[in-house]
Amino acid sequence: MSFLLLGILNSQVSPVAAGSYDLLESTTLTSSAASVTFTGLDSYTDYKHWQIRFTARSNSSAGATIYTNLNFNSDTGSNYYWHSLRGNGSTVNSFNAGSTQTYGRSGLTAGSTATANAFAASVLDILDPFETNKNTTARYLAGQGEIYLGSSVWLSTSTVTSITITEGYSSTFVSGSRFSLYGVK
Amino acid sequence: MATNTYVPIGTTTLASSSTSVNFFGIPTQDVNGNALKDLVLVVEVLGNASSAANALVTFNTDTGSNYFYALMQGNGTTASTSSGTSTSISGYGSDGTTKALSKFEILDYTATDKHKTVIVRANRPDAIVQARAARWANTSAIGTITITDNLGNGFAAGSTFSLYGIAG
Repeated sequence: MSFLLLGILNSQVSPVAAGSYDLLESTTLTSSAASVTFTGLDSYTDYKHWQIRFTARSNSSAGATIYTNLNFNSDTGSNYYWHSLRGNGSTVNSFNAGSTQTYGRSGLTAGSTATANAFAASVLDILDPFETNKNTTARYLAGQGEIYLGSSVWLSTSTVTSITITEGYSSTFVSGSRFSLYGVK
Repeated sequence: MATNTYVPIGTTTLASSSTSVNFFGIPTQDVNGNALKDLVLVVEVLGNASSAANALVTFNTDTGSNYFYALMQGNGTTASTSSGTSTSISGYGSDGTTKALSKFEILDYTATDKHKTVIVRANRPDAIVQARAARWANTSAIGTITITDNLGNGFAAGSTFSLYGIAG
C-alpha cells in the first residue's frame, strides 16, 4: 500500500505563527565575490535569533570541501574561537583553533576541484545576537562530500550589526552562490 | 521587508501501515507568490512489530545510483564515518519500538544549474546520532519526493511525514 499526498500549499496542518520565521535578506551572486556581508542588522532587533542558509562554490583549488569564515561587525581582531567535527568517509576528526583566531567558521563551500555543479550546503544559527551580556555564539551543519558540525564564539558582548562570510582560502565564491538571512522570534 | 516563511507544504500521519509516502507537485512559490528556495522534510518513523523501517528519500522517482553521501555517526561507543554512492538518501530507522527522527535540509531545490545538496540530522534516541551530507547528481528542479521503507515491511501507523518550504 502506498500513501499519496498531493504536494500543494494546503490547510492540513496548523499554520505557523505569522512572523515567527522570516526571510530578511537574500543575495545570489551574479559575479564572483570574495565575501558576502549583511549590514544594518540592528534594524532587526525584534528577532531573537538569526539563521543563514547558503549554497556556495568557490574558485579555490585547495580542495573539494573548504571552510567558510565568519566575522561580526567587521572585527578581524583575534577575538574568535571555533571547533568542528568532520566525517569524510575515512576518519572522524575534531578540529579547533587552539588559540584565538581572527575569524570564526560559518560552514562550507565546494572548491573548484569538486564535481561540476556541486555546491556545499550550510545552515548557520546565530543565537542571541542582540544580548549585551553574552558573547555571541554560532553553530552550523554543513556538507558537500564531507559532513561537518561546527561552532564559533565571538568574544564580544556588542550587539551584532553586521555579518561577513568569506571563503576560507581567501579565494572567491562563484556566481550562483546564494546566501539568505532569516530572523527567528 | 521581512517575508514570513517556513510554510507547511504538506503533512501526514499514517492511519495504517504504508511502505511509501510521496509528495508530488511540490510548489515553487508560496501562496503570496514568494519564490521558495529550500525544502525541509521532517520524518518520524516507526517500524511494524519488530521489523525495522528506515526512511529512504528519492527525488523525481530517480532510483538510479545518482546519490552520493558522507555520513558521520556515534552510537555511544564508537564514532564512525562512511561515504559512497547510493540509490537514495537515508535517514535512520526505527526498530519497531522506538521512533526514529530524520530532518532533511534540501537547498536550492528549484535551481537548474546546481546538483541538489542535502544535509541530514537523524537519530534514534536509544541507539544513535547521525549527520549526513548527500548530493543528488542532477540539475533538475525537484518536483517529487518519495520516502520509502528500506525493507518493504512498511512504516507503522503513527509515523509522520512533513514537508516545509522556505523562501530565499
